[in-house]
Amino acid sequence: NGQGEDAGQKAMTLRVTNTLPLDHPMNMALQQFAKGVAERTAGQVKVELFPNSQLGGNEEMVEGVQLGTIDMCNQFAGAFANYVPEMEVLALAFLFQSEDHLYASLNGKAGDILAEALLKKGFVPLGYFYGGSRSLMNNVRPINRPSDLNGLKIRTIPTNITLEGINRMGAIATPMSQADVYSALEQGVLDGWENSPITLYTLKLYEVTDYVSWTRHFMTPDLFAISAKTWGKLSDDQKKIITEEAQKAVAYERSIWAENTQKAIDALKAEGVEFNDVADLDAFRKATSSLWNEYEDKYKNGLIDAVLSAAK
Amino acid sequence: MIATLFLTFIILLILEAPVSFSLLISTVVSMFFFSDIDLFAIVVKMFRASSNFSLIAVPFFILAGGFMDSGGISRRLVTFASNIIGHIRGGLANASVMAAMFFAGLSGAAAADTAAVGSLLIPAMKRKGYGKDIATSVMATAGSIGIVIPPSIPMIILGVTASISIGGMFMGGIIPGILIGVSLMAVNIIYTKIRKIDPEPRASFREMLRSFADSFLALFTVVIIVGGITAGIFTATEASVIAALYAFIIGFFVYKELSFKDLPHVLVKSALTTGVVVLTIAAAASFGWVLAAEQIPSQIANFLVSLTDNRWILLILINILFLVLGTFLDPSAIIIIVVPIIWPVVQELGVHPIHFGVMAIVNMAVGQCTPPVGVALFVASGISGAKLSDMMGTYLRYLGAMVLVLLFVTFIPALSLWIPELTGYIK
Amino acid sequence: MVSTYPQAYTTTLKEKNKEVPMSSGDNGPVLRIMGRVNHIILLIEKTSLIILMVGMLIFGFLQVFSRFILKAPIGWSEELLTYSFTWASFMGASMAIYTNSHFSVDLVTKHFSQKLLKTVRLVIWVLICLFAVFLLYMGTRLAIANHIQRMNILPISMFWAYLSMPISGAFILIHGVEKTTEVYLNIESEALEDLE
Ligand code: NA
Ligand code: NA
Repeated sequence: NGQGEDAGQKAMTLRVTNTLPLDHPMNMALQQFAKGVAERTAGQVKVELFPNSQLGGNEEMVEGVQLGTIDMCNQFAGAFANYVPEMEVLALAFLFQSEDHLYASLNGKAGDILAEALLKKGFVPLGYFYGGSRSLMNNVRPINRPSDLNGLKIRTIPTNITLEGINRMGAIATPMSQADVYSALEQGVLDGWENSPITLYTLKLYEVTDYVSWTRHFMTPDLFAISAKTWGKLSDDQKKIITEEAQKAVAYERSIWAENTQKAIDALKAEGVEFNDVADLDAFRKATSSLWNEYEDKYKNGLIDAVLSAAK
Repeated sequence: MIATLFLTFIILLILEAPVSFSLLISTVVSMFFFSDIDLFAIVVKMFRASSNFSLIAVPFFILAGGFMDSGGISRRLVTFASNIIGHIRGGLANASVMAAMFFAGLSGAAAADTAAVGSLLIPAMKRKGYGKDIATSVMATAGSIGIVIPPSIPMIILGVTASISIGGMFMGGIIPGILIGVSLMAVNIIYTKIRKIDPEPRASFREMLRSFADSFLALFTVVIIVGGITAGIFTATEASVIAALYAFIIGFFVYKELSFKDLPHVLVKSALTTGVVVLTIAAAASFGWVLAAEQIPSQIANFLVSLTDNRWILLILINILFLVLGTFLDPSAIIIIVVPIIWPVVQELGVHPIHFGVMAIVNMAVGQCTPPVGVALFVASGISGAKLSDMMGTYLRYLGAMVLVLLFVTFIPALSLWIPELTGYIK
Repeated sequence: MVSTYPQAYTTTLKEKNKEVPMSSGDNGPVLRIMGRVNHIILLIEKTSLIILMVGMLIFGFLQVFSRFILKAPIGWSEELLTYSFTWASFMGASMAIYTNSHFSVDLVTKHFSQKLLKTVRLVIWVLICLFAVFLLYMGTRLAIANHIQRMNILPISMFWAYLSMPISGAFILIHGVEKTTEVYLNIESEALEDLE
């Protein structure tokens, strides 16, 4: 049952999970990671992939990694904020201007501050996959300025920071569990939601979504983390191999992401979803940037400055 | 590991341990001896499986039924229904099936459908002499239509997992859902003949009119629920809360048959039934989690698809696998663990995605009724108080009717593909 | 009203017990204390279930009302409902031990002899008690481990949600010990009369 004997030493099985389908870029990268780790440890560390929430949903897998019942997961970085509130910085609307800005922040001082906070709570960060930027999707009209959002009920991830971001953009942020979203869009309980084109495509919600407005308001990466409990059982050599292979997987995922986003957009257009560039993105940025100050006032850890100065 | 898990489980079941504790104890025992995973995992999974928002429909529809029963709404609705259809054979039992089919068009879960319709009609059927066994069997099976006729939460999960058109499956589920309903009504008619539950004399037009006027506010419950969901005011889950509130207001303030001292009993009863249902769901989730973490279902599925490349034989094998897993696993667990392995193989053999999807969902509907773990069965028997031994013979016939429909759906693709073709989901 | 509670389990036990001489009417101080403790727990269970159900009813309504009428949805209502539901489920699950409402498969045991049935019942009740100890222990550790996890929206630690499990475990254990004793001494269960 997942254990074997090799060279007299007991082999270890690491279970890694996420909510995504097997053909998602992150799972393609994780399969490569599994292969790399198995080869370089001569089978001593075996990585088993559980896609599609096979070991539980968003909160459950983060909790599992923290408790050590699940070894690794990758998950929307904001989901770790229940343990590490500082992680909310990655879910602030319009804070990151581009993918390059995001990567520069995570590789620099901001990344170090977060890593320290994560380690304290039992998560060893291995890297950040690019989760795509999230844009607004709805069934009423293309969104060009904040006033276009007036009165629209937009579903978002039920966390304070994301709800607040969507509210300040001008919409009525509506928390709802993902299972109800399809029917809610179909029956009109919701006017729209927000996510990346790839998620819109894989969740099949384009069947009940008409417009995608290219707001790119959240540029939230997925944190790929290993449980500190599991980490403690590994030898230094194994730790080194896992860290290196994780870096390779992250680089690989980021490279195939762009290509897949374009594929998803083309497929969505073929399904009749209408895309529009947003005329007045600055108005949205102005409406939400007060949240950055509120964050700094709350945690006083210099993260906002670290992120902003990484923009150069 | 797998042998210990199942042996312990089956022995405990046979010795009449509660289903929930049989699942939990066997999980603890087998994990303790054979797994490298921390036993924490069992309790975490129990907790997470029981903190599921869509399950709140269970206590609140049961509560609504309790308020309706004590508040005089049920009596009026049932009088009205008997006046309209009481003279037809199988009247109230068939009305229950139709109500479940109708509610299936609003709700996406079998538990909600069974709770919504059963809490009202199981007591009514018992009162009209149908017997606990028929009342429970009808509602447990009919409630499972909730996931076949759209909307359907398992179809959404399946659509996402296997990348099958959700809208297409929704359309494809309509005919199979109706077929299940019709087959259950056929069983009803046979049973009422055997049991000599004879039709009532036809009501006069005046009686019909009077009962209509008398039950007008009660009938308005249906208008509020249907109207509220279709107008986008609340989700089908939230509808349960609104239904309970409305039933309380009418029973307490308008009909004044619901007294203050009835309230604690009705509230506790709905929570008690929910506790039983949810503990079993949580236990089955832990049991399934351990199986999944040890990759047992996926190994079985891999083995199965390697056996044959005949499309029809494979579909039969898959149906058997689903039925077996369906006895103790929840539909979503089967979908996310097994379907990703099976589906690519089935697709290569030329089975249409929507056909496969609808077949899988009809199969899961059967799974929601089969003991030992079947949510629709738990809710129905929780409401009626029937034990399995009270109803097994009767129940097997209703289940048989569902399995018959499953065979039709498996071997006649047109049943699931015709409406999707008409509505443009298949080009 | 007793009749609406699932009661077949107890009924079988009562019928089977007819053939066996009942223990004497005086149950002794230990049994009396045990009975009293179980009544208190039952009262706690009932009261918390009533509060939880009424609370969920109110906040469920406010969730719809705030979204549809006020156009300002309460962000935390779904979370509050979800964890209240978890509490209600675990309280209901432990109360169902007292009322013998848990679903079981009684197709084989009905052919057992009275003596065999008693042994089997004893073994099952002891196992249930052991599991309750497991739930109490693991649940406590888990609740403590989760004090550093906060809820998504509400500023409340997950400790309070997880606390439902060890409490439920403790209540199941208390009810279970009484049930075990009752089976051992061939005492008729008072559970049903208590629900009047
Ligand atoms: Na449905
Ligand atoms: Na089942």
